[in-house]
Amino acid sequence: MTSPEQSDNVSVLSAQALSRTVQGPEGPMTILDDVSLSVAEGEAVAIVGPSGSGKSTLLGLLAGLDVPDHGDVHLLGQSLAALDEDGRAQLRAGRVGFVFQSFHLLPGFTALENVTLALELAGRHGEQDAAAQLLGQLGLGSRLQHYPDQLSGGEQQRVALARAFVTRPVLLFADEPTGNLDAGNGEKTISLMFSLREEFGSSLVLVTHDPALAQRCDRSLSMQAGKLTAL
Amino acid sequence: MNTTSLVRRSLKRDLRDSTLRILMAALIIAIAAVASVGFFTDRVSRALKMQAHELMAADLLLRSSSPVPDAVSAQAASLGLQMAETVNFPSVVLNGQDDSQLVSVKAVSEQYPLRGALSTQTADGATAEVSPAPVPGSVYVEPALMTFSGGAPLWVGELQLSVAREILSEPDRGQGFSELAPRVMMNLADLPQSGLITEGSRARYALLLAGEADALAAFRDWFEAQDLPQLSLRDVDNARPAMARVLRQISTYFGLAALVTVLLAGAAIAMSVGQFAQEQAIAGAVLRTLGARRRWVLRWLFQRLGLIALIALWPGVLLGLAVQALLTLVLGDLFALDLPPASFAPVAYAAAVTLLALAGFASLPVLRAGAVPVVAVLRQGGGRLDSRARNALLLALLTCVVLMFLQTGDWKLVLIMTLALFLVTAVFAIGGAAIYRLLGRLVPSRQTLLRLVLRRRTPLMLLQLSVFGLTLMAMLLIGVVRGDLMRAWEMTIPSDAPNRFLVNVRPDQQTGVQALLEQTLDFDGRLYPVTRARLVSVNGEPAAERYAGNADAEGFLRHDFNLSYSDSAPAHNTLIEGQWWSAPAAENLISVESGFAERLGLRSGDRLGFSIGSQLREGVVSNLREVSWESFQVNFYAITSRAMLEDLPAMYITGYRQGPQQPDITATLARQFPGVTVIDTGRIMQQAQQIMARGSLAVQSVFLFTLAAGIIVLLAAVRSSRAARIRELAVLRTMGASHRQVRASIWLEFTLMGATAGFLAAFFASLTAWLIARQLLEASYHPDPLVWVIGVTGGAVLVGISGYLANRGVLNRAPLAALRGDV
Ligand SMILES: Nc1ncnc2c1ncn2[C@@H]1O[C@H](COP(=O)(O)OP(=O)(O)O)[C@@H](O)[C@H]1O
Ligand SMILES: [Mg+2]
Repeated sequence: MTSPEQSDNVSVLSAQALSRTVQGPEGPMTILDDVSLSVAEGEAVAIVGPSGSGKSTLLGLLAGLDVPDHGDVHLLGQSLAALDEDGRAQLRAGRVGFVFQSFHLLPGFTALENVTLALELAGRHGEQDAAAQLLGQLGLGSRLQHYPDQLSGGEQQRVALARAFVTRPVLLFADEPTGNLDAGNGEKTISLMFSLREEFGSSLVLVTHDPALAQRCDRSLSMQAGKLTAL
Repeated sequence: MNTTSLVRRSLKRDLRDSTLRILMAALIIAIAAVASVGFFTDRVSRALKMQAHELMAADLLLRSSSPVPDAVSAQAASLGLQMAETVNFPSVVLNGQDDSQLVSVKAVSEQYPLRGALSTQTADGATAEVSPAPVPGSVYVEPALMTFSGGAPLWVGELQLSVAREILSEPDRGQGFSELAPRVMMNLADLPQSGLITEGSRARYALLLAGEADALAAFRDWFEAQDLPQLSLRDVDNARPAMARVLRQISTYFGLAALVTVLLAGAAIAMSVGQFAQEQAIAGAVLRTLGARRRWVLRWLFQRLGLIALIALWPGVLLGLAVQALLTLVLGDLFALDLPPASFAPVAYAAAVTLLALAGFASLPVLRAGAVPVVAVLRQGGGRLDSRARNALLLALLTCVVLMFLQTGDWKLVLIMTLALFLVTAVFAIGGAAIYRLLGRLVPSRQTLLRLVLRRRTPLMLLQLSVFGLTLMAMLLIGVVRGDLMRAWEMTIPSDAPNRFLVNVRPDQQTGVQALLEQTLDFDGRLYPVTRARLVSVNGEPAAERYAGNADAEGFLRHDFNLSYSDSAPAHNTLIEGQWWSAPAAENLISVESGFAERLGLRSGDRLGFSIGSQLREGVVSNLREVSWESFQVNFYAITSRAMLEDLPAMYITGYRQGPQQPDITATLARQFPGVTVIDTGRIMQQAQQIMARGSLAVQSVFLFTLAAGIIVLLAAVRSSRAARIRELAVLRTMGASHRQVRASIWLEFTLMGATAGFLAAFFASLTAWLIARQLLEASYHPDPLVWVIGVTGGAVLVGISGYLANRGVLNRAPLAALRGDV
């Protein structure tokens, strides 16, 4: 394992010439076309673009949730092409966090259990206190034993933030985290997310169609019809 | 991370989850149905087996129509088996007054019986529960012969033997009419001097064996390697074949009811697990973004379902135990057995069946849930499972077939059942759709809600309708229609049909009995001479060869049947071929019953040979008679001319009607004519009816499971269409429907479904009853309005309430939340 990328300690994420083609009703459709990018340690990168331009597709490839037709991704110095699906999952465990547009808390699990789960899947047991503390920090101290369906959208997204950050991830992926929230809750979520990122020194890849949100990142890239350009 | 801790935490939620509660209910019902039937049949069959050893007076029995070869007993002796011998044959004994009596003689060796006990009583009234075999020079006799002998010695063949004891019970005493003659038990050592056994006598020889299982198995192996076709080996499995057959039939009926329950539960399992898989698909994908492997997610899902099954097993088994206790209460004494306590074997079987059902109906959706691409988490509404799952359907069908085979063990039956289920389901679904369409035309257009409900004929809804229709029909048939049919059939029995039979009337008693019957009961029939005979040859060819492999005919050859002679044709029979002989026919002529002739392939002119006692007699078939067996008159398969039988010992039998207003002559007969036996067929029929009533009560209680499973299918279907229904009702609300109207529409929907199912059930139950009455009973059947009332209201109430309760939650959802897609 002495690939040149690994010695390059600055980049936590890099993608080379990614493309993705899917079968549409009228033949193959290229939804991602020769995309390359690199994210340095501690850096926050925004990907902006209209709906349907391929942002989520790119995020999925970068996080190893899906595989490209061409190109490769190096996540935390490891080539994803060399790993199978379970290998990619293992690589993420404890090091990569996610925040989704539709929250995706596990139904039937309390707020605290949802957060603790991320720790346990990373092999870290008995750290419930850390989870409870982080939830308290996000203003959910009185909501630890509540189930997702007993929480508002904003509260659910804050539980999701705690779940993403509790392992102090190297890298956080966020796909339109404010998409299902009203302006007030959206704003609150974003500022909490940025302050936690600051606190833990995590890199961030943030997908949004909101240019104002993108402004808060170190760098913005624009996605247009499957092509990525710097702004 | 280990899945168990997560499974444990999931359990809290799973137990509250409405989908999994439906799954659990389905599992409980399936387990209870299979277990209750299993417990019951297991207990009865074990009791039968235990009793069977005693009923054979041995562990193993060799029977033959000639003495058992010495080599066989030598082999048994060398294996250390205990042995006893018996020889059985009909004969006539004489008392001190030279009166004769037809008896069934059994000569036994000293060691008899090897299993069970011979219980006897001495003249001074001392009883011995366990008595030794009679010593040479003495006999034991049954009570009927005590009066006959008056305690004095009896002439048995050429020997005069003293009556030592009265037999109270004999372990291997055969049942049925062929053994009606009273028993004389003598010592085997006396047999040669008695001169009773001659060439051609119809004695049955038996070698009784008992001992260790290994030695018995070794003997059996040795025996099977020999070529001894004249010997038949019997063990407990083929002892008491009649009871074994009843048990087999009962367990088949119960097994089928349980099976239908399992199949319905399977539909509920499939629907609820499908729903569960859909709900868990995204959760699984989220866990995978957090670093869980796919296998881990699958294990998590399967372990949760396994745990639910494990939890459902116990209430299911308890419910099964309770119901089998009920079945035992209702049916237990039918078998006249002391039932052993329930064993655990049926629990294992029920668990296996349920696990199989769960695996067959549930594994594919769960596998698909585990295989949802992780990227689904990034898509709005991602992780939808393909609902057109052809593989899942195929696997479910395969599971059904395997389950059916497990329960019935008969591929042909499985095929017939599958086809019948498809057909009947289709008929009910088509009928339901037709009724809905018809109502849809009749309902005025301003009844918007009703019209909306009537238009909701989805395939799923029609399937549910047929499930309820089928179950209700089964219950109506067993519960209501059966009684109607019984009554219709009773109406066809002529009011003057005999309800008593007299057997064992000695020739010297014939005129006296005839006179008594005529004086007290206006009897205008006659007494028939009866000889027990066996068909041994047809046109000179041995019957055993002629009918080898013909199971239908072999039944007649194995047993003796009643043969009578007469100068004139019986008044209640119709000649359909040939002529009756002129009164004092000198030749040996035979009149044969048409059904008997058909089964044995006999025609006029055939020469039949009968063995009667130690005699062989031949005669020629001169005519065929049609007998209406339902007339309850005394009838015979074969009647001969006087010349053929007159010189042989015969007993007389007849049937007479004992009206309720007439003096009961049973006691008079017994006093004036010792040895004569009265058989009360009225009581036997009453008993048979009681048994049938209890049997159908028992089958009905098993069908309650089926009904419960039907309701669970309804719940599962309601649950799986919940989201769509919430949206639909929300749209109704936005269009101005009131809360009350929306509620009414749900009531209406399910009540109508139930009423339609009940209506169809009543229709098909009545149709079936009518067909049975016309074709099988040849009785007229008047449809019972009760069937319709019970069918329609029962269905409406049952399905209406279940459907409404299942949908209560939906009504409380705010319409706005529904429209936001937040469901
Ligand atoms: N598996 C797929 N099959 C077909 N089309 C897809 C698939 N995934 C994404 N697409 C299409 O690719 C395009 C980009 O999708 P997506 O990455 O979700 O865009 P964004 O997140 O920017 O809104 C869309 O037109 C979408 O319909
Ligand atoms: Mg997107």
